[in-house]
Amino acid sequence: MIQERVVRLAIYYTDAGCIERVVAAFRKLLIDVNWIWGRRVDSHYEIYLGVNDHPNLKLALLNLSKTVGVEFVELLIDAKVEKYTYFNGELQKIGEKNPGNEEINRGSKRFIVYIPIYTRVVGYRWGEKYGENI
Amino acid sequence: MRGAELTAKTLKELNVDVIFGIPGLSNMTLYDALVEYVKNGEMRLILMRHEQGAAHAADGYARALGKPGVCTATSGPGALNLVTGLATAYWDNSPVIAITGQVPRTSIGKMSFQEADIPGVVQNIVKFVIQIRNVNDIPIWLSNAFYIATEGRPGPVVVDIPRDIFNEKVMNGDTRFFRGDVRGFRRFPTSINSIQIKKAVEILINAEKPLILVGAGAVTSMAADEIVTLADMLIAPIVSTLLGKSAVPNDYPLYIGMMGYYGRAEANIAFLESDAVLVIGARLSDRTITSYSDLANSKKKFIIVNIDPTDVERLPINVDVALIGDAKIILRKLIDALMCIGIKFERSNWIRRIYEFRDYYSQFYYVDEDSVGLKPWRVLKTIRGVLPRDAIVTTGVGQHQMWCGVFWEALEPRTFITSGGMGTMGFGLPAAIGAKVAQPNRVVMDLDGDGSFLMTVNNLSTAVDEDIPIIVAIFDNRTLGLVRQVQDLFFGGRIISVDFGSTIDYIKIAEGLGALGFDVQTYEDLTVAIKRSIREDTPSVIRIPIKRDELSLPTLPPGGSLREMILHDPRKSS
Repeated sequence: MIQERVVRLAIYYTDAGCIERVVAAFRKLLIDVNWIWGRRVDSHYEIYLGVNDHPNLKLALLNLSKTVGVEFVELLIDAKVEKYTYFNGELQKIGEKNPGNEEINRGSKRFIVYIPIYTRVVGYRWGEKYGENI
Repeated sequence: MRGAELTAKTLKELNVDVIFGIPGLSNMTLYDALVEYVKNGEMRLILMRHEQGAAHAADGYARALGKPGVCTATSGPGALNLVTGLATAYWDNSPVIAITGQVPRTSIGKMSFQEADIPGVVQNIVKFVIQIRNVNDIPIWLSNAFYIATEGRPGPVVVDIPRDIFNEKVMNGDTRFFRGDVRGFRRFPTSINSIQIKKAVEILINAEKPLILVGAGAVTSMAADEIVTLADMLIAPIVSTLLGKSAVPNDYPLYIGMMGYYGRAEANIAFLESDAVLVIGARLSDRTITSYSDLANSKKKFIIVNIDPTDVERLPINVDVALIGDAKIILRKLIDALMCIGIKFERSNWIRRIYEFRDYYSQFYYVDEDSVGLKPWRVLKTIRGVLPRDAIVTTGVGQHQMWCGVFWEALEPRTFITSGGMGTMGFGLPAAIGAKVAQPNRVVMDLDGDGSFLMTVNNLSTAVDEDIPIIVAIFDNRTLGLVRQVQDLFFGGRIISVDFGSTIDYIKIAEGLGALGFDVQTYEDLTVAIKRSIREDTPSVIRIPIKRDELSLPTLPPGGSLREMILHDPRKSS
């Protein structure tokens, strides 16, 4: 099974094409993106992505870290994604007791929330590196 | 003031004095706003014959001068035609600014006439693209575009402007700039502390076979004096990438030649045998180090000088010292450190060995056995003998480019302009136009192949109309020679879809477009034709006959390593 890695980044907003540039950084290096979560906060997007581990991952992060508009890129180490369902005002963790329902036609009232839990980060920012080696 | 006038005013304040392009529906208001500047002699608008040529011309201008070249195109097909030129500039780190007209904001996304989603199209082949949404943002983003294009690793930037914004009135026409403050864009950090310098110097002192490898970054940095000084002090031979050829004078005795896929054998051998390599401004692409298996189990030490720290980070080799910053500054620090130590190096065995390789491999290069056509190496030697030292040459892409890589002597910085990373056929002629506009007092010659020439020949008409006296030398082998060579050597001789017919007449084409045409048959003819072209000071085309199955050697088998060089025509030994 291919391990999933979780990436977090901030990119300043010029237009919605910012998101395309982020996703393209992975696509161009043949890396599958499993999920993406993001939100525009004031002047920037904060984006989380779940991507398949890949030999090109470090190169993708380096390229992203010097993409115009990107403030930083971080790899979340030991990241596990916890899933929650939100239904009728109630938030429940998906697990053995609550298998949840991620089917495409599950209905519009049931939301799935993905929360990455991690221990530390390795960050890149325009040639600067912080945290640890990947 | 309207948006177009604000754009024109901003460009003038950014010291733009020439724009290569073609007007159309969505950028004609900009052209209109430039009329007064043109009349006053403050701006020159050069009408290219195809937008690809406009991008290449801006690229040639930028590479010859070291400042951004500007091109413009209308929306849809006009802007789409820029794409190849923009990608070419991106791959070779050339600061090109493209101003593209766009359909009005109310029409965007509705499959309007001459609409194309240019930000979507180019965002992965340029350093940055911005679509202007507000007329007041024009000065800021144009200023940012120039900053982004030139800071750090240079590259092309596209500013896409809807034509209704060109027409929109501006209440405050001040050109307000935010110089050096683009959110999410930073200057790369420099990393050249004394410990790193000391470590680098120790490696260079202790090396028995040091080598200096120079790339495009060394040209951009204009570090020729420092590289030569360092080579003299270390007694270290220099090899280059294709784009790094003009980083040092090629007649400098310690310059061995271009290494890599079609590089000189002695340069490749020098790289393979060296025990310490000082890499200056080269990203070590797959054209330079064709297979990293060549470095497996190697104890070779690498000192990397690069302005882009991520370029060092991504390398699949063990980097002993990474010096991050401008090459010229870093090399001065290395020189100062070496001078403090004051060691006189004794590396005569290493240098003698390199020269022995050079002498040995010469027997494979300088061969005159055929009577059909002229020999590329002798053609280039003849041209070099006629052109002034500071002449600029551009090339297309193909065998002639590889012959230039091996045999052309670039003698001054920024005098060898070629499409290295993207390998774009048709680059040479429009790039020569741009270079000549940038350096009007220099002789500019496009060393082209017939295949490349035919791709952008239409722009010769621009050179004539605009009085841009470039000289085009066509290595005419009536074929797409490099592809033919691969078919011949590695596809069992199954030659297909590469040969041109015999009817095309390059002299008539030249004359039909208003240029001089010369059909040379001997090296003496060639000398005369070049001298006359320079004297006439008018665009000229010189057709040079080359044997159709002439090979570009040395070469490697597809995917081969530097150890697998093919030095002589394998067809003759079978």
